Amino acid sequence: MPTAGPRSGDAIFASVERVNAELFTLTYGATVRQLLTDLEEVEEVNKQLDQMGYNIGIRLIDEFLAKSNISRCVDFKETADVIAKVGLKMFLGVNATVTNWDAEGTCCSIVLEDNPLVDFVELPDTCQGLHYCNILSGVIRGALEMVSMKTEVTWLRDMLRGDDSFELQVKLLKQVPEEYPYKDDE
Amino acid sequence: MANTACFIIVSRNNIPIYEAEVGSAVKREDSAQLHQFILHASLDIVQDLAWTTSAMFLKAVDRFNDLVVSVYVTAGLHTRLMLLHDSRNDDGIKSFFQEVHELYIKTILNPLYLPGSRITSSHFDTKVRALARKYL
Amino acid sequence: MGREVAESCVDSLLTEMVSTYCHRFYANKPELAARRIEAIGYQVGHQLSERFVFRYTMERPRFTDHLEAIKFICKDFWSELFKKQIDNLKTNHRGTFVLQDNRFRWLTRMSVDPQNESQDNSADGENKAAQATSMHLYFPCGIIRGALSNLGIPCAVSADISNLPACSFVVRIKA
Repeated sequence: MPTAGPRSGDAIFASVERVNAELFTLTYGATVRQLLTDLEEVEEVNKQLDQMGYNIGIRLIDEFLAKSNISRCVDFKETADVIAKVGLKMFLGVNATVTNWDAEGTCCSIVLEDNPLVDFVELPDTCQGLHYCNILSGVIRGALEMVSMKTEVTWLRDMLRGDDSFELQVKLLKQVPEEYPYKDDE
Repeated sequence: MANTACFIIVSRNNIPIYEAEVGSAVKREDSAQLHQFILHASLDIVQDLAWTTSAMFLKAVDRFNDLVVSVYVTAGLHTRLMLLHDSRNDDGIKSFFQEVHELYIKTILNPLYLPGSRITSSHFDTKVRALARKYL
Repeated sequence: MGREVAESCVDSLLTEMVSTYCHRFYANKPELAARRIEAIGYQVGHQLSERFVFRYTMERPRFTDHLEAIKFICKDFWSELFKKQIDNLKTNHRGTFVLQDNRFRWLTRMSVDPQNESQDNSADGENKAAQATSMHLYFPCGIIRGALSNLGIPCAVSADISNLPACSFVVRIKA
């Protein structure tokens, strides 16, 4: 069987089963609201959302690798690009860009100008410390951990707080070299 | 633009959740109160009328001197958008209501907005006032 | 056509939300977990029904007849969520309606959280899987209850999965 190259995010998004984004947006929103009611502390909610995202990320990575036809990303730079161009596109249907690389190539920003998670959302005064999209940073952290990259993912800019886009900083902490039990034959 | 126009949103429990004087007349505290009082007084008429028709826009349901009360009843929630006005521009009023309704739906879709609570969003307020300038 | 996301986003989110409430927050209090999951569904149903009514009719539907509102749920509402209508609607004409979806998408697609379900095929394992499924179903039950409540119809909703993958939602309207 000829090995096709990695597929583009647009192509995958066009081919997967899709659903009304409002269902997704509102389900996420209702979950955040319920967490705010149950946990009371905004900081605690941020932590839970991140944890939920992490759990989703470690499960979603397989689907991602299978559908995108990407075998493995060795290089962190390439990986960041794949998340922005393929990952976010194929799941959320949005475009993202990678910028602000540091000199060592271990820290960059993923910038989103559009994000279905926040459609309709306005933060009330009582929730100013809330990182509403924290699930997303958790997903990225979880998924990367499954391909042996330990990262720290933080929000630098947030449209819900008045910024003009969303900016996620992804910092590579440790890359565990993978041991291939056998060499992939092409 | 209308000289006098007072706009309020009343929740299904008959509690006002948003109020704005959107006319061009000089704003006075006591007239604003009177306007809101008139609008509340016509809630019963609206209630009766809403049962007899499926139209959302109910124009000129009540009067007070030269002021007229027009109402727009939303679909599910039975929220009422109420306008006290001196203009006779029915088409403009209808468009105003329809666009505010859309704004209102976006507001209640905010997962962090508690249904039936006051609308405090400044974004909503700004948009409503802009629509009033455009249509009334 | 409105905005869309990959279906796996919704699946993953639901699985994780249910798991958070059942295993992390209320591991020993399933009835509390169920109530929270139902409440999340309720809010979603409440909001979506206002949204969809607005989209489908510029007239104000007067759901004076309960059947009209239920039909709205079976057709327009269900289609928006699942791209299909409810397959079968029954009523006893005394305020109870049974809405059957022959292949309920969230049951056919939702994999039960593997990390928390035992691998063995023992009765205990099956029991746990059944429990997890019923936990998931509090969410759509909440959605239906929220949607009807928004249309002015207070009710109780439960799910019956004795004919998998069919799922029946039993709506009891409160007098």
